[in-house]
Amino acid sequence: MEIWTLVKAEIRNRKGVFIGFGILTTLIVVSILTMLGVSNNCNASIDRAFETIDKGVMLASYGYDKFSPELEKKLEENEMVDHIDINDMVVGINVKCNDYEDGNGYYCLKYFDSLPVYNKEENGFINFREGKNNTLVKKEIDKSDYELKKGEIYIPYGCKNEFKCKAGDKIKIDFHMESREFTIRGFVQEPYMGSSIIGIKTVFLSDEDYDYLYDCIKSNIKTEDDYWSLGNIVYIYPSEKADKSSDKFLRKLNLETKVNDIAENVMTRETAQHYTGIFINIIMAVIIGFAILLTAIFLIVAGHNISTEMEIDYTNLGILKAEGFTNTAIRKVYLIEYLLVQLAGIIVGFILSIPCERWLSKIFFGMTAVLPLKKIPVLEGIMITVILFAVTGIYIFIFSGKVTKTTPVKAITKGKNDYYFISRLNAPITKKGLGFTLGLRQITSAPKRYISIFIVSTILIYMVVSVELMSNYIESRNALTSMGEPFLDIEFSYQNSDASWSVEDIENIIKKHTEIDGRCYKSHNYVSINGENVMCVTKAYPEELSSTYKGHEVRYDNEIVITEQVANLMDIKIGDTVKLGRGKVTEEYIVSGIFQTMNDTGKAISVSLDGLSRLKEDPSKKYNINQLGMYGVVLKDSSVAEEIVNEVKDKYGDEINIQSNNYEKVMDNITDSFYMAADASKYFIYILTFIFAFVTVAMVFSKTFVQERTDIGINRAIGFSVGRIRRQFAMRFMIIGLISAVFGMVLSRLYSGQMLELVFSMFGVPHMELDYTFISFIRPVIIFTVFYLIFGFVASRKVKKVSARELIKE
Amino acid sequence: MKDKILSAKDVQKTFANNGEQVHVLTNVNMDIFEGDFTVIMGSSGSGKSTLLYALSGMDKATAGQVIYKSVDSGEIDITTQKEKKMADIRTKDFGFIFQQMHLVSNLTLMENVSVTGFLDKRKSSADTKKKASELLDRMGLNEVKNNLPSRVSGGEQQRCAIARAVINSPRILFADEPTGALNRKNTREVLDLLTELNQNGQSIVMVTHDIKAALRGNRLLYLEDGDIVGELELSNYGEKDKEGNKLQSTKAREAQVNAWLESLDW
Repeated sequence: MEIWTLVKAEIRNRKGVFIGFGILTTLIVVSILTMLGVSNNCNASIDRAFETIDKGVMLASYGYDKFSPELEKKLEENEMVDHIDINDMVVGINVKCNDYEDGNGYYCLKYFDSLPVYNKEENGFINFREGKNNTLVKKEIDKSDYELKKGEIYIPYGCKNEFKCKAGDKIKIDFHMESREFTIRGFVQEPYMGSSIIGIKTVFLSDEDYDYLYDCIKSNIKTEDDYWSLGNIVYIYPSEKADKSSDKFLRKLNLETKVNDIAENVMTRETAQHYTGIFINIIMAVIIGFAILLTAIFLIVAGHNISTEMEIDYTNLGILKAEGFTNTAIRKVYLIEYLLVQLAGIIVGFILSIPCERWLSKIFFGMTAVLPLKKIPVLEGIMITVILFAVTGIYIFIFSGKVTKTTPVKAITKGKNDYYFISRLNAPITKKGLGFTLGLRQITSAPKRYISIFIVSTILIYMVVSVELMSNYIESRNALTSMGEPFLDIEFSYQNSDASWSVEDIENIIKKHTEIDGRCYKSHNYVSINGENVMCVTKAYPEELSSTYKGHEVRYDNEIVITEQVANLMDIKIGDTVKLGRGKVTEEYIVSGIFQTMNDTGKAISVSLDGLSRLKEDPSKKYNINQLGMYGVVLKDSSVAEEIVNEVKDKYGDEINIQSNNYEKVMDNITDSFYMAADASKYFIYILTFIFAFVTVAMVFSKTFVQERTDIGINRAIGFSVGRIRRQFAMRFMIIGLISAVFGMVLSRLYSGQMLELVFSMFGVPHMELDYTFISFIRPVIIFTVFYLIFGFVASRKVKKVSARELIKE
Repeated sequence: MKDKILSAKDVQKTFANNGEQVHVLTNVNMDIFEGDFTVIMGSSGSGKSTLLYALSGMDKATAGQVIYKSVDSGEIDITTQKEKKMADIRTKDFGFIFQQMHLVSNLTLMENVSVTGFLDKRKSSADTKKKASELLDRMGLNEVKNNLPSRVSGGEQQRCAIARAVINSPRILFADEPTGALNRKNTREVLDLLTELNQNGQSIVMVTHDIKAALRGNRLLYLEDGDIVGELELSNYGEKDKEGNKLQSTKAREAQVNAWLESLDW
């Protein structure tokens, strides 16, 4: 009972500090539980989506006539395969909707029944309902409620954001020899390629439209160049003998059947899951990493708070001991009060995490295109509670050990003098800058009081400088080139195969206006490397705008460069010989270097045009430069880009897709998403940093206020105004901000690169050459210091309550 | 005729105590004259310190007016002044000495004095430091001026507090039981200093319940139940005639004050 009385009194007397601790705990719990909830629900919903459509664990797409009866037989007879589901497909390109364009290929299929169609509210499906154990069950409804009519199309939900479209909007798709416009009937949950992060999409047409298109296109296929326009999509179902990992299953199956080598594109369930959830996982990693940092900060502040609390209460501590309180009982008081506050913070955090999770899931839904589940992470909540309790309990028990080191008399008689003058540092006080010098003196005369805020501020400055460096990095042209996404002043591509222009013609027009600084002429294909399906970036001029940072760029047709991700995945290194497979051909290549690309989040390799030609069935018929998919140039004088584009358009009209880029709108989908995730992390860290900084300043002020209440009264008695005293406090916190800034900057110079590379490697950018400019350090430092000045001023509003009357002893 | 520099008009002060109102000052009317050493006496709990804080603007009266005749702004009611103006008055016009000294604990004696001086924009930094040094020297604190308050005796702390209170040459020096926490030797030293200041023209208002201290004043006021109930005019302490003889011996002065206090049932 006596312990509870003391606990209640302590919490009552220091409610400011305890509210601060409660808020910090809440922030930590909200961050972790929200992200765990989002991630768990996302992963579970992707699993559910796959179970619902029941289309095996692998989707392989093939060009017209590429999926041979021989391959079909091999697959059906393979013991790892249970059965396969072969579908014809029509391929669409240059998709346009609401003034937005998408250059990726669109696989058009007939709508099938197991594909869930989102309802109007987008919180469920027209043809499926929630079943037991988070499953989706087919509704017993009339087929006409969702069956496509002529001219209608279902598109994956991931396209909704891309085209900013809704049901009823028109979408135009170019097919071989003709263009068709469809009305969007609705959106479907297609887990293989429905996510906005994946470029290629499967869309669904009515049987009537599909059959018409298929027949028309088939009758118009004349040459091998037209084979892109039709093809097959094959869904592969594993037998019990297959590896549980769909990626490993594909690798093994490819070695035995060449299922991957022959395919245009293969998407396994695991790969789809990886891409669909990639941003959630990256943001979760960043936020949970930050939450762990916050927990460390929380513990630092708590530990320091207990020490100073004991010092302030030294006399009371003596009195309690004199009354007969044991050391254990006093330590229990500390333990209980912090755990109680933490429990309150956890409960509030748990409750707040529910709407936060719903809100974030809704945002990510546009990206994942899979309806998120709404499971509350109760188990995780309990685990976090137990972990936080255990860590805090042990920590507080250790820190409260000081109690045992004093006797009642020692505590009562010494009072505050012991803690108050812990330093002999005497920063001078001057009339000019009185507030600043007095603030500095307060810090130098009792530095121990500010250790916790100093450590916390240093960590926060480190985080803020790091995100600033990241932001500067991703915005610089050199960084974009080093990430394999160079900023291109002009981009162009063929509109159709019988165009009258060649790349050389365009280069000649450009050269009339300005010199070409770099060329990025490339195509994206899929090949297998030692059996693993990877994206292959084929470049006409590999040495220009290169992103190879280890070894050397591809020089010969038997060389390739790989990403660090592929090197780690396949356990290969520079100098190794690997086997590349495409179609029926397999050739050996030497790894000459490590490069970076954000294509397929780094799961990619790169070869020269001649290098890719070696994988042709007839390698003597080499690919030429005019057969690449995209062309881009960096100009010496980018101001003439628009002029060049106009001239090219005037000359070649609709035969060419050409555009000039300004710096703001350069990114394709992947980089847009990349920027979005990077920006989200940046703002999240900025916001959390400032909340944390404010709470910490408020807590430290709260303690300082108790310690210096008399001094504040004296200052007011001798003529200091409230504003002047508050400015002095603000100065004090600004000085702490400045000192922390120095240490934060040093830490950042030493470790920001490594930390950012760790995070960015998830995007396929494991190597960063950060630009440690003066401005990238000074800007966050100024922002942080100014905020500390403001926070100090705001937090010190309590000074108003102290008047000279404090000193009255009647 | 002495100049009136501070007047209390119907000053009341009421505190709330557990929901009950406690009327500490009921209706105080009084004047403070320039150059006087005014002593406010009264029994414990009579409201002496409360009155002093109300007069000095350290605390606001619940009702009534405290009129200060300022050199710059003429007559002003300090009960209605804004916080900034009051801070200015405390810096330039009023000095205050507390019973418990109340020196800023992490500033040296020299800094305690000079920081107050720095607040006065009329003086340069060098002048302030020079004056602070002179004052501390005068108070006999030259050797300990760079010590923190915790490293000097109570008497030294109080002398430093006096130096701090007069660094900006205030028009009125308020002292709340300035010897209340001191031993006999230190008490005498502090009172001598205050007397010396008064003899040099410093107006002083001091609250005390110590008769020895009260003898230093030339005007004694008696406070009872929150109101002034008695007043005694004395010659200036230690004042001498043309021949150099004291106008009134200390014993005679003490007897006069005792008699006056007895008449007030002290």
